Amino acid sequence: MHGVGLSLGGTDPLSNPYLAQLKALVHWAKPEVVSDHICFASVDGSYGHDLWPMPHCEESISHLASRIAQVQETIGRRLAVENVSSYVSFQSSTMTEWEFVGELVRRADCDLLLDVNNVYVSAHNHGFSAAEYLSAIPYERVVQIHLAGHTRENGYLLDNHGAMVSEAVLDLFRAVAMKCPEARVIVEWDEKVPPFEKLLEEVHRVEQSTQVESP
Amino acid sequence: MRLKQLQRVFWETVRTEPGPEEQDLVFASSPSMNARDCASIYRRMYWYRQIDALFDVFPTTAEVLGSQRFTELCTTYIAQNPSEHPALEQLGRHLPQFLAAKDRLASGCAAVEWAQLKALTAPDNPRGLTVNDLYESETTHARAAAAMHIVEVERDIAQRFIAIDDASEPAVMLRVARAGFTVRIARVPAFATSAYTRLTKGDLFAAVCAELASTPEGTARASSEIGDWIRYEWVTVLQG
Ligand SMILES: [Fe+2]
Repeated sequence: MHGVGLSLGGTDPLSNPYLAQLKALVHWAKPEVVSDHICFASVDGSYGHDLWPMPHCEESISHLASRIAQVQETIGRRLAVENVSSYVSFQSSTMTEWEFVGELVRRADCDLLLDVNNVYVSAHNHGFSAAEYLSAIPYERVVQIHLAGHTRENGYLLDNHGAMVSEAVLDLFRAVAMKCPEARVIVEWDEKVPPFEKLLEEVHRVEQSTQVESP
Repeated sequence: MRLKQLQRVFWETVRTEPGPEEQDLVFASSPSMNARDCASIYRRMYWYRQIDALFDVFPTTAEVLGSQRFTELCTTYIAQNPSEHPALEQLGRHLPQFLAAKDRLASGCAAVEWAQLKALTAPDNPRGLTVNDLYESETTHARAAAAMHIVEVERDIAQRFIAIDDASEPAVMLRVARAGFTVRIARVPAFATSAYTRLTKGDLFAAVCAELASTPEGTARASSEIGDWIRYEWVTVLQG
């Protein structure tokens, strides 16, 4: 069960009606994984319906960790948090994104939903190494992996969930899959959705990719 | 800068162009773009997503206004009514009212389309009408369930959604109601309009039935009308 509306990093109080409904849905559906994103989505009661990035700093970690704890306590389940793709960075960041994510999941004692395409997109946009990011992930906490397509815009990559998974992302995924073989893999495709056969083909391509030895 | 303040600057940057001066203290540049250009990606996504969501919920309204005028009006609407709900589809809740002073036809269409959205996303009926309730109609109250909305509109608005042969009627009562996973729009027949009006008020079920039976046509067709209320759970029963 995957959410986009918790606004875990937001500074508004967590929405009690939303949490109550999430709890009821989780108890009814009994999903394998309950997840949302490492981001903020509302400010002063207004919602942006986007996954806005957090500055990578101590204040963000402690803020997110306490809110993740509140969610986990309310729903009575572990929460998996997902790294987002981002298009802007902050002057107040004091650490790399992988240091931030690793410390956050340790401090919050939660699981990680690792989106490999998001790592690739952010690495390109901010000029860091996706391989270095992925070498520092606490894989014992990764319960799910996301793959998706992106598009090349004027000066940046956009995570649009509307294309095939790129070869570069598949290369990264091969290495990731070996480090957490138990994690379930989801191919996200929710823009310009092609016929179902094409989606199935894409899933098979991803499955095949882990069965081929990397050069 | 503390997190709360940083997020307010982010929000202002996304909502306004070119955004507040403080953004220069918040955002950093990327290897290929300056900080303001990076932040503006979020501004474009914000406006695109909100307006796109309104196009999704109000396709007929958009058709009436034309794509460009609809986009312009939505931009003003969103500036005045930012989303206050975690579910994006709730964004349009004030749009019919907003359009009322701008365009009568568009506002009426928006009211019908908003009723469609409400019917589609309504929770299941906790206490739908049953056959047994017919025997207790003197003591039970009945009201329209969340998945059924009654909207009264002028004829030219109704014609955007259903065929209307009768040219003499200036106003038309529409029943916008969910059946399975689709929402159906139907004209409430003349014999049933008083009964539906009572249902929207949560009246005694006996009074609703009496309205249905007040014309010969209603008496003849009451069982089919009530049968739909039971089958699709369009009516909620309130005890006492
Ligand atoms: Fe994802």
